[in-house]
Amino acid sequence: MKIVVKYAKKDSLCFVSHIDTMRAIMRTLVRANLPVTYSSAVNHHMNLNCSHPLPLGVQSEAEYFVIECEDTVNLANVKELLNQFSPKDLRVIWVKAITNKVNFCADVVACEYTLKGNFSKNTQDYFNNIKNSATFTIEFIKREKIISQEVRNLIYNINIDANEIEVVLAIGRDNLRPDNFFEFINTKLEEKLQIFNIVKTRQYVMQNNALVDVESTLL
Amino acid sequence: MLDKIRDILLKVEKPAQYVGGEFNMPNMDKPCDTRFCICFPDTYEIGMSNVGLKILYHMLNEQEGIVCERAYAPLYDMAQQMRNANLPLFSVDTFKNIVDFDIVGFSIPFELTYTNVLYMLDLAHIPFYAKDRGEDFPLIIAGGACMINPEPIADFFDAIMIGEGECNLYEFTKLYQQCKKQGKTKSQFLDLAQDITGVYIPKNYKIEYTNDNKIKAIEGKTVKRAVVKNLDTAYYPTKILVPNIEIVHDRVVLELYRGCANGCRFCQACFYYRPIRFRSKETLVKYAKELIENTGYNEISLSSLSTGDYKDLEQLIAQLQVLVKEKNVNLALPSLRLDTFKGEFAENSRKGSLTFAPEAGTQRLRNVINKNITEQNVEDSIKMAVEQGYNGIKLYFMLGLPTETEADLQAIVDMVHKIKKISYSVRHNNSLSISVSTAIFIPKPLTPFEWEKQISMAEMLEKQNFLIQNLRIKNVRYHWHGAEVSQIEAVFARGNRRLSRVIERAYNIGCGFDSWSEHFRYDKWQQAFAECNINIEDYTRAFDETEILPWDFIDHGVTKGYFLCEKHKAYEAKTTDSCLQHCNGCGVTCLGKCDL
Repeated sequence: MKIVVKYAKKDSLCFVSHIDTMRAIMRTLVRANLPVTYSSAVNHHMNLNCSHPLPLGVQSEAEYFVIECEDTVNLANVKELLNQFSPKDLRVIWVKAITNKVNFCADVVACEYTLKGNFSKNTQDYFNNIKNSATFTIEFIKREKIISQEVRNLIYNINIDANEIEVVLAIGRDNLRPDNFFEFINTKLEEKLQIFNIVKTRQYVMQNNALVDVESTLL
Repeated sequence: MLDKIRDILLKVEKPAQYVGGEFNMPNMDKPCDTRFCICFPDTYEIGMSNVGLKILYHMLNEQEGIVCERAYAPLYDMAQQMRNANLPLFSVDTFKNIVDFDIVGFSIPFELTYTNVLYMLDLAHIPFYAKDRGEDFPLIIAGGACMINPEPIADFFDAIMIGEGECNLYEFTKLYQQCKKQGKTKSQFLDLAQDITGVYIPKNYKIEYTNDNKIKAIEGKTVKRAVVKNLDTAYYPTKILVPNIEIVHDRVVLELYRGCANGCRFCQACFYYRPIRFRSKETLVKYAKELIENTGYNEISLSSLSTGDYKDLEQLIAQLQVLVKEKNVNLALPSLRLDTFKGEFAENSRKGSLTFAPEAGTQRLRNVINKNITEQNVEDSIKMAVEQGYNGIKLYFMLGLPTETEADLQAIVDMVHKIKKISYSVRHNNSLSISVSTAIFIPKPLTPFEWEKQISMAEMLEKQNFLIQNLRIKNVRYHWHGAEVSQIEAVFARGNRRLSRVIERAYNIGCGFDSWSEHFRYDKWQQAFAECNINIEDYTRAFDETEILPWDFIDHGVTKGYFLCEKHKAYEAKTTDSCLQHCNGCGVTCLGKCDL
């Protein structure tokens, strides 16, 4: 049985890297004593497929992993079991058995990020300007080098009001990291946006040239 | 507090080490009258691997009325950010300021972490010296394997736990709870605490020195080392913290037994952890099962000073193999003596590389140090390992052992050639990789060699150079432990209270994380010793057999007479049998019975 698990990664866990999070998930599955299947390779490992890595410091309410379990598993208990055996800042939101093939890393092309606060008129104008411009170039540091990148085509959507900023940014092969995006904007605004208040809220796949919530593709 | 910490976490390396949140964290909100913080003077990744710390942390949290938290030495980048933000050192469990705890207990694993104790006190805004801390500051105490000779850091602490914390720390905290309820002062509490076995209150001792820096007299009562009487029933946590980041020993650790029967004359741990006490294989298998279920770890390792000497090892491994298959986990076998590396263990362990520690090249020198393995043991074990398909052999030796000559060094080189020959005769190729590592002998307290001198820096370098020149062999790599760092370790292992000023000075001029080669600054240490007018050689010299040694006020069980007898036997190259064969009368049974 193939099972998709949607979970939130918050507070202390948002400072834990992707590889360490995967390890924490595997240990959770062992503690919960779920009959997860393993690969048949020499160094066998759990059959586990995860979402794209989340940058350090960014929280998420829309992370997913897929596991394969023996058919004996009682799906009704899985959410409760996983929450009982997870680190405190990793909370399972729902679990679902699926029949179609899902690869979150390969299929997901964009993610929605939300930032709550009290945003000034200037900040709102700045974001609306990005939305209405044809180009937007950011600078960020990668391996101790300053990289300059045109990213307007990697921004699918921006919505802002006085209390919430919502952006949809590309992920995967064409990638715009939310921390790089907001940190650059911080250099341009008087108001400082807190990176650890960014929450990933949705993941999208591309179908017929339109972004579709990945959850609607799970069958 | 958390908001302030969050502000700086994204500016530092591995921020997850500062925020806790591990699975199996005890309830920090339970009703409590005493807040205890265990401080480890090195990083989270190292501290979280320490078995002793796991035992004490969970033991204290299970005690009624006590909440125990943890703090580790932050890396320099974090310390800088904390200083910039005026953020004092905090616990990783609830982000509480260290200064707000009732008791702050440092677990000190070895001498090279002394400057980090001051580093952590400094970050916590706590004065270094016990005499400078009034009632407003928490009790600052220490314990750990390094407290065999606590004198170099005695002035920094209100109390020091000598021996195994399962006994004395439990009683100490119980007494503290009572005294706190009764409104007793720190000083009144400490006067009562000194009657607990294994509790040393430095301020109650007076040390007199001669003009040449020797000890003339120690005034104060003898402290008896605390030991767990029955290891099989002693507290051992099975619901341990599971870190969210990878740590140094990221696996289930089963402590098989304490003490060692072999009596190698340079080995402090062998004597310090006596009496020899075993855990039964039934208890160990039960712990292994519970630990795997409660943690989700995928590896079990067996820990002791000489795993091959565990009396039921074959049955234990057979029972663990069943668990290993059932739970999809691995079993790792460390610390095998050459003479205990038998076929079944070789077959049952992974075929990477094997580590052996002959310690000396010649049979004569191995007899001097009482490493009871023969040339034949070495050859047989290596042959078996090569036949089993192991790809690498790691060999550990010591340089500067008493009576060592150039012939002993040449014998190390000869042994490597012989291993290559054995490998070639089995495999008909040169594919076996050999790694040779040497450490400098440190005459540690509580060993038969505690009176010996440490060789000079020039001799250390000369011996290392000999091996560098002569081990230039295909597929052989030579690693050596730094001479300078070994000298500083020796000084603090054998030092007296006069060294506290040196530690303070060294910290103030930039020393810290001294066990990390990238941070160790020998020039700064030399400067600190010079500025305090203290000769390093006063502490690396040979001690007179009749001289009062700084740790003589501690009764560690094994008698001085036994050590002297062993020392004299060493000079005659006579060996002492393993305690597994018969009792050698070391004297430790005054503290507890050996399970032999």
